[in-house]
Amino acid sequence: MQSSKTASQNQPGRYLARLRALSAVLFGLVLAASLQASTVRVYIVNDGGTTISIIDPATNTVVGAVHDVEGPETIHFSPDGSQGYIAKRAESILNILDTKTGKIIKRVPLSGRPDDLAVTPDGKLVAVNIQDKPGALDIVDAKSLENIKTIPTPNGQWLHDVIVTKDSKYAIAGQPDGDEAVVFDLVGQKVAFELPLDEGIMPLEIQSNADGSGKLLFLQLRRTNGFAVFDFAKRTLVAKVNFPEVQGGFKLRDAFSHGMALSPDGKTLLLASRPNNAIYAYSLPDLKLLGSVQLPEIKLANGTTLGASPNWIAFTPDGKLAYISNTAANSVSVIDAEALKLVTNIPVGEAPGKIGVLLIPSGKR
Amino acid sequence: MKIVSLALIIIGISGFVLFCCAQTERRPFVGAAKLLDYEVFKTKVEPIFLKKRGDHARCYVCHENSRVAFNLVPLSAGQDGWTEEQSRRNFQMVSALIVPGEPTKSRLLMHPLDPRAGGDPSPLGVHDGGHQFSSQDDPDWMVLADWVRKKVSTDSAQ
Repeated sequence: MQSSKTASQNQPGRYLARLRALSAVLFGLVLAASLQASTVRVYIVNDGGTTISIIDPATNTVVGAVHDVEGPETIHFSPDGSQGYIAKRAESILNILDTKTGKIIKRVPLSGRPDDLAVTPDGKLVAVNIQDKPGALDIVDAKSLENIKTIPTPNGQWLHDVIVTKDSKYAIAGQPDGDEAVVFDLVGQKVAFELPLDEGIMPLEIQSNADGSGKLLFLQLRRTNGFAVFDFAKRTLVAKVNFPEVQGGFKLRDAFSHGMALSPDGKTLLLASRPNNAIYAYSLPDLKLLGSVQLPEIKLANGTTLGASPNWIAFTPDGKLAYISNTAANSVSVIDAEALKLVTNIPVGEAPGKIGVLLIPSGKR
Repeated sequence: MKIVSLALIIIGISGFVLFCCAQTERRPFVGAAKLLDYEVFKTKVEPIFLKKRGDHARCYVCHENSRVAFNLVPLSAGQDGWTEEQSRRNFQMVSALIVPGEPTKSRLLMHPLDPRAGGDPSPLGVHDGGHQFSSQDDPDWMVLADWVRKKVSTDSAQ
């Protein structure tokens, strides 16, 4: 389903100017980054603003920003760091960025407005989950830069978050309103199977076997302050884990647990709890609670406090640090993933959301 | 026995009345559109939804054809404003988020307001679009508040 045009789409001149500005900023940043070997940058999408903040994990400071991206939705990069994929909330478009030149080299039409995207580890495909009804998974060929397939969801519900298995064979997306996870076969380009639950599904993560096939699938649920664990091959529910109960806590109607990341070595799972305003770490595969890190609170004039509303989590490629976007606090918390200690809180833009990590391997520039 | 029954009936009716009053406090007045000025909405309020304000994404960018209650009608192709019919639909939708005469009880105003300035730490969760208004002195927030405050008489209402 193609969404209606927005005001910005109705002004092509202004849009092109913004695109040029965006490209210029990115070019400068990428050029600066190219001076170092094996560069890592953490990109924070400021959902309620017009920028994507760029953090250097070596200093944990904001070193730049992508400007003029109104209502950015998501950003991710190819495994070799050569391409970036940027989507805005109001556009049914996937912008392809050449990280070497800093230029948007193509705008790929999507079947609807994107929610998130995932790049297969072999770098061949970009899976984009569509948030318009009826939900779908669009598959973009990373080489031809064409939208080669739209796979509709079986129940017509929109998709939230998408992940891919390490063997690049499957993409999995959740349905907050459809109460199931949908598994897409990226080879056959069809729906492989569905995993129904009794409540909506928020972010997902998957642990892999040595051959890259899916092992344990982790799902955050809409009204559970915890998460569910599936055996991916057997398609069976293994466990439902609740976070520790805390006194008081921050009241919410739903989306209690939102934000999850698996460490690069596959041994630790970090998850966010909004009522508890904390990040919890679990060891895998035994699901043992390793510890937690409290997130900053927002002090109000009447003496009460608000939680930071943690939203998304991402690890650095070496697994040493994890970044958590705090939507209510307009900040990013940095955690030492091994010591489970808060390193710092970094102010970013308006309502930070999804996180993309760019790794440019040494010798690539 | 009759006295007990009568007492139970009175308690029941009282409870129902109290319940209704509580609901009126918590939820927007159902007939809000009848008490709000459509012309002010169209000329002063609606443009705020399309206005670029600082580093904020415009309301329209996230709320065009959205899944949440604040769900603006998509602009027609090539247009930078709504038609009369579209504005009427926006008015009806927005009115459901207003308690006439009560800006600080109106979700349209309180949800995008910074909680440190009195915005709602709503159980529905924080405003995903961030703190669109940093204070109740924000000129655009004040336009919204003035519109909500000035109830029109039901005779002259549109």
